[in-house]
Amino acid sequence: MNVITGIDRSEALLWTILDRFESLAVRQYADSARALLTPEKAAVVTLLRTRVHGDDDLTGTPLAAPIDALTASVTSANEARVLIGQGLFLELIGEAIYRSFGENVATSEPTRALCASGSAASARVREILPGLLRERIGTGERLLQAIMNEAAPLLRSLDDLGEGIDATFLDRFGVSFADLMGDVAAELIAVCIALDVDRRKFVAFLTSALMGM
Amino acid sequence: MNALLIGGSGYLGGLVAAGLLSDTDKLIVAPIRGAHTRDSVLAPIRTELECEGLPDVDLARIVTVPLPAGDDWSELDAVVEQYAIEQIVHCAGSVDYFNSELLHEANIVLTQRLLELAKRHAMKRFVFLSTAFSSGYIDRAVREELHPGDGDDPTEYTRTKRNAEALVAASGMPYLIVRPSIVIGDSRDGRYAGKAYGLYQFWTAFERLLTDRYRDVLHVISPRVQLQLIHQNAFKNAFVAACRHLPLNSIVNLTSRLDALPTARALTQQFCEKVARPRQIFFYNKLADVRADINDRRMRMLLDFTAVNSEISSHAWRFDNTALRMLRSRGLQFADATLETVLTCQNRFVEKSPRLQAYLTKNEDLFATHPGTVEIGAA
Repeated sequence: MNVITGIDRSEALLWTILDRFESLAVRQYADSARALLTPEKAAVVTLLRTRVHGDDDLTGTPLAAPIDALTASVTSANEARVLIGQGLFLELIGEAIYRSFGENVATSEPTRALCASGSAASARVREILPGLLRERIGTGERLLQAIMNEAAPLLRSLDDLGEGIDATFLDRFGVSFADLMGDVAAELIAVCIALDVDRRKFVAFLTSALMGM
Repeated sequence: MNALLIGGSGYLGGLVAAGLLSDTDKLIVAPIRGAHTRDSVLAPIRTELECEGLPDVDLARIVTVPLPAGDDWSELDAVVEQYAIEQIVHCAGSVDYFNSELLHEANIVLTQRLLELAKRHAMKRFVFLSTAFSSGYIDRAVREELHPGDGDDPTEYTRTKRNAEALVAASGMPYLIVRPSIVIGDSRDGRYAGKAYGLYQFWTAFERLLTDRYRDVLHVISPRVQLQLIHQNAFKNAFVAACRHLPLNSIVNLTSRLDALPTARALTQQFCEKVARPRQIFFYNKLADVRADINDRRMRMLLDFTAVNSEISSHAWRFDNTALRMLRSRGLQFADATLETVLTCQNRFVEKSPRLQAYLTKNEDLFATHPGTVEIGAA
């Protein structure tokens, strides 16, 4: 039973989704990428755990199956999958969500506080991650190939998420899936170019993944 | 000849299956794997046959068998013997642009394995589905012959297809290489079951990114160069005709007549006038020309996401169509893609899209009758 107070049903759903993301991040970082297990990440998980108890607010919604598929797509004991799927893609998706709701006049104070904490945690991961990617996987073509291999399942699962995000959050908060993915794509491109990934090739990869090809 | 059809669960492979089934009384053995089942493979083939008014074609002539999962393909030897297979029709592969590992595995390694299988059984023919763009960028018409190994490739996909063609030709197997350009929906009703490539990518990008609100200004990269499209019915008919009539060791370019083809610019304008309905369109020839002061992030995404295809389409592709002309002279029904037939496909796409329908209804009062156009950058 969810015990969040002071927030409405759609915000409770948002908290539950973010709890799924962050709990998974902590588990995966503990197993495969301890450098990303930062105090900021621990703090946001602690905040979520005090208020979210289980999946009740997610179960039965149009987002339940897509979120299951999304988290399953990055759940892995493989270090490259964790660094790319969780550390790069899912962190940036989370950060885009925190930004959109944190700066949103329609959200409650507890949700804005959560988004501030979550943004700080994701930003810290974003600082550390490029060095880890460079060291553990490489840069340029090598990194691009790893991204194509490891992020493809996650990107395929995103296709089913869009309708649910729009149906749940667009009217109430003005947050759309396309806007979120616009933020994510812009950040991804910037991170990857800084790691010597060919922009044209990376954008073509994102296109094929995000346009449902 | 009974055929082993590889890639029968794909869009073009399904069309080939429907075409071969209706053209011959032979068996098609289709190895399948992964999430595919016999029913999921047969469903689009059945639909295609029904749309063609051929509901009575016996689908029992398609035999599905498991595709070997690992490196050991010897279990297919027994299948080849059991069904007296005399040709392989290879329609499988990756169409990813730059995933080198996937492209190598799907376009090179798979082709090598199939060629070995065909040689072990001294089959009569190996039919390979390639692409019209396997030459890479060249400054003359693309001939119906093998291309040199090196090339200026728009993507790694074209390079692997060219290398796979070379493998086929060097194998010693009698072959037929079929090279279609960009396949779009049926010229008569616009039906299309493929992925969002080429023109469909632009339509899909608009649908997903720019239907959130009406925009009175659109920015699009759209050169005044013919877009190399062929309709799926033209592809299917020509593929079957090539199998029936072309001599062994032939290569055929399947492309529409150049003088019939619409330009990318005309197609974009058609979409804008019928669907997007802005008051003004800024046309660019390449991404580098796009104004830097566009603050609409979704518009930027659309431009970014369609940039590679726009770049490829800006090349003035020309094709030798000697073999296709011969097939036409023998009765092949080949509907060239024109502005009007592509409109049929566009209308079908729009009809099937709830988002576009909602966009059209919601913004009807805002639509411009005839958008003004602004040309940016050198032609």
